[in-house]
Amino acid sequence: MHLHKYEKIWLTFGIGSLVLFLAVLGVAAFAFGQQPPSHMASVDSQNLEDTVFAEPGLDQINEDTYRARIVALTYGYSPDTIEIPAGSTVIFEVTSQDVVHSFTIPGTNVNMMITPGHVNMTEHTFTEPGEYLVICNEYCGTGHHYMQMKIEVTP
Amino acid sequence: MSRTVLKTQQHQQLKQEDHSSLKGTLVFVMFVGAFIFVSWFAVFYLFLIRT
Repeated sequence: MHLHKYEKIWLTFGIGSLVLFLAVLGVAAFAFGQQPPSHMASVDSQNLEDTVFAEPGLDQINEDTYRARIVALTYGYSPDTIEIPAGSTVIFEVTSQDVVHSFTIPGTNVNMMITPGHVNMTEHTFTEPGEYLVICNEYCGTGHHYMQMKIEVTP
Repeated sequence: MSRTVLKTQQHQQLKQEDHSSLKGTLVFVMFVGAFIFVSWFAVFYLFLIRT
């Protein structure tokens, strides 16, 4: 097969870029453990009171790691405020008791869809003290724009 | 004289067929490719600094 010299150049560039992009994603996924927020964990959304989400809130796992179990509902989150010291890593485990919501902390990589029946998880290390707003970016009803919670990071 | 003219025309026709340049295509393909390449790393950089 005869290929023009320029065709060889752009094919090499295109295939090379694709290999590079996939290699970066592969290293991030397999060496650094980055993965999407869906962990295939499920829960009975009709009976959350019989599950670990009966008492949502913050648990300290070790010195600087916390687990936040949060229930999203129309139109808010339970609990609506959590407080952690700066430098803490929080593992968020979030589920919905009714419709599809989202759990988004603007300015961070925490941005996941919350679907009833599933527990979506992500983690974030809060290095800067301050008040972080959590919002729902998945339209969930007439009060969607009021849906929020706060994360207070103390110095 | 007329023979000479005919020869020149034939020569020109052959020259035009040979002149199939892909330079413009290369420039545009590399332009689009560079845009995709830079955008990809810009988005990946955003992901890294927000971690």
